[in-house]
Amino acid sequence: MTKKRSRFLFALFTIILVVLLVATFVNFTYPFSINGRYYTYSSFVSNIKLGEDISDSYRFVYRAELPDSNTASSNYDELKQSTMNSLADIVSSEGYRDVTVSQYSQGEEDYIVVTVGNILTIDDENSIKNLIGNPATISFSMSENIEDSFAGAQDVANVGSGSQYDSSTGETYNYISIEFKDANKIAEATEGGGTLYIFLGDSLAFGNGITIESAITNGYIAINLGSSENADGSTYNPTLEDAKTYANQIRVGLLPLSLTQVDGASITASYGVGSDLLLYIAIIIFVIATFVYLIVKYKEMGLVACFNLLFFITLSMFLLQSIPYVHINFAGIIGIVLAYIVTVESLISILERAKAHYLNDNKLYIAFRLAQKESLARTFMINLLFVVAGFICLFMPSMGIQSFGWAIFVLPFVGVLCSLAIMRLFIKMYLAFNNTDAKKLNFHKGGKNA
Amino acid sequence: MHRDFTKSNKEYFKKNKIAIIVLSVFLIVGILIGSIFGFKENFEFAGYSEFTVKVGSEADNNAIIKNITQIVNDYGGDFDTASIYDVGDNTRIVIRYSNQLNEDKQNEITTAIITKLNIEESAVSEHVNVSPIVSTKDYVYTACAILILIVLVSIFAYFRYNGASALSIIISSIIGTLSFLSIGAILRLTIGASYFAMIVALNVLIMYSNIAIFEEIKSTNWLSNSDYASAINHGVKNSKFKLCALNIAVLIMGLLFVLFAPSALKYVSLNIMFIAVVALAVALYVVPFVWSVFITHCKKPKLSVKVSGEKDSSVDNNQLDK
Repeated sequence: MTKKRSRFLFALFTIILVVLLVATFVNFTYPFSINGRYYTYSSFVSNIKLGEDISDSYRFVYRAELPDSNTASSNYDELKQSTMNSLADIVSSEGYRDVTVSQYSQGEEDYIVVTVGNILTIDDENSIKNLIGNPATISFSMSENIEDSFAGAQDVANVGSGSQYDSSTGETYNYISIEFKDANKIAEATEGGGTLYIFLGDSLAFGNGITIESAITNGYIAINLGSSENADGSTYNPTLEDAKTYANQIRVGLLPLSLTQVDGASITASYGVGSDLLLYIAIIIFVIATFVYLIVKYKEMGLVACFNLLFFITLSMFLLQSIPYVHINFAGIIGIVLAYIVTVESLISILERAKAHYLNDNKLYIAFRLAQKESLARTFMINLLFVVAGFICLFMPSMGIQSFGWAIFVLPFVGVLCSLAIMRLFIKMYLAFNNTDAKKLNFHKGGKNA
Repeated sequence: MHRDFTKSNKEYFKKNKIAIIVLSVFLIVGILIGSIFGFKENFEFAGYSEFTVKVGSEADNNAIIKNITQIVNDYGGDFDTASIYDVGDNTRIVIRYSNQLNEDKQNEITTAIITKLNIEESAVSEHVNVSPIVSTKDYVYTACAILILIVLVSIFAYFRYNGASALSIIISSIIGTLSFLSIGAILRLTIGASYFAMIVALNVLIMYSNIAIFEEIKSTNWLSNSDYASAINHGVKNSKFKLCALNIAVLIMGLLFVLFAPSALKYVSLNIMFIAVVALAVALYVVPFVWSVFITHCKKPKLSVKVSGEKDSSVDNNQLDK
């Protein structure tokens, strides 16, 4: 590589790095408006979702009781556990992470506590309140009278929602699907055809019933949410979100126990106020310490390695905020730090091998070429180990381990990219300026070997 | 070829007598304490008790924190937190105890809160005993995860290096995990979900150390012209700098977390330091121990090892050993 080209590439990468650093760490308002409105840019770091142990969370407390308080149930504990599991599923299916569901008893009353970490806006709070707070008990009848219902929540196996494109009309329909536990029951009830009326609570839902022409034998119905007319004469077209809300209301209505919200409050991190800030300070000190070490030990090549590590940091933050399932709690921070340390170690390994080869009477560029070649398999191997370990952790029930898993699953890819590909390019660029003076790299002849 | 295995065993024991005795005693004590007294679990496993106190928004937060801290210290366990936040016109204080309290204890603490904060009894609006968030399922899942990881990496090591390496990974992971658990049991450290993540991290570090050592042996073609004992000595000797650098970095990170993290996290952060110490000890002592004591008895396999790098400039074994 020529000096001119190397100078150009260094300038280019410096500009890219500055842009990435700003995008990673700085929040700002755009200096121009769009349609009179000023938008704010959120940095990668602030977009990373944090777990409830190091950030605020929201807690909802529900009083749990049997739907009919006069009915005693011998398997009450099982029903409670089933309700808790379903609640966790419902809230998680809405895209919220770090959901924990626990329970406690006070006097004769039972309470279920749903804690959702990383709630960002007031809309999120309201969305969860609406999600769990408005359960709708579903019942099915072949007459307009709810008393004649032939099936209820206990007969429903699953509820879903979706969109379907009808090529004959060119329109898209949003629908709710209901799957019955016992296909025979709905088949018998709809045998003669007629109109199927669905009630949510005591109210008739989905217009004036669904016309059934022949018996439903597969135990599955899909209800198209067609347009309807509002009181002011305007047309209301239900969206996919509406279908989802209906489906969730029905799912909450299927819970074995009925829930009444008694409290909802934001709570601070388990580790106390500002715990995330203190952890960031510790990490910043650590990163600076590694930079100082690299620069002192390898001088100019240490600087190149630091340049490379800054790319690792910014690309890692970009990836962690891009993947929707990733949320970081304390264990996740440990994973990030571990991945960073392994990348530093890979760089040190390359430099130490290069030093050994140089001291073994090789020229600088040959020493680096050999060092990189020898480090290739080892770096791949070590990072593969992290990826496999991370992948296994993703299936753990604990949010903490999942968070750790995401960090060590995702970041090794960046680690390999930086310690092999980008570092290789940077070394080439550096050697265009200096491929003879080993003192600038602290590779003294007669110095201590690796 | 005949090799004097007994001699290499004796030599190893002689050189590392103290380390082996200390590790053995430590492991026995740790396992005994762990089996008799169990682990000290934090609120995620043991459940917790929470008091909510409503005070006016004009209340002096510093004075409240001081008094609450006093109450937490007087009546609390090791993992207690007190959080203060504002809701509308009220400031709410949540005091969390790391165990579920009985009624007498609840009344005692409620009285202490009322007296210290000089508030009405009705302000202590809520007391809840919350069941464990994390179940024993997590223990089982973590054990399975580590097991799967060990099996996968061992299979990989078997094919890339040899059977001895696979055995080394299995034994060193088991000894490392037991050592880490022993530290937790002996020092009565509080165990939460993060602790499991650290067990996984420890195993990853141990496997990392193993792979770093084996790669060193493989890349210098050492095993093809020497025995297991000298091969592992060579591997450990030449990987020592990297392994120390890695684990010291983890140790420093743990120390920084201990220094800077909030009090509740200090206990958790201590574990980061311990995984670094255990991983380094395993790499420097347990891996050679496993090789010298167990693996020297194995039949030496035929290795198809190629020296990587360009022949004319590859590093000489003796040079690397200096």
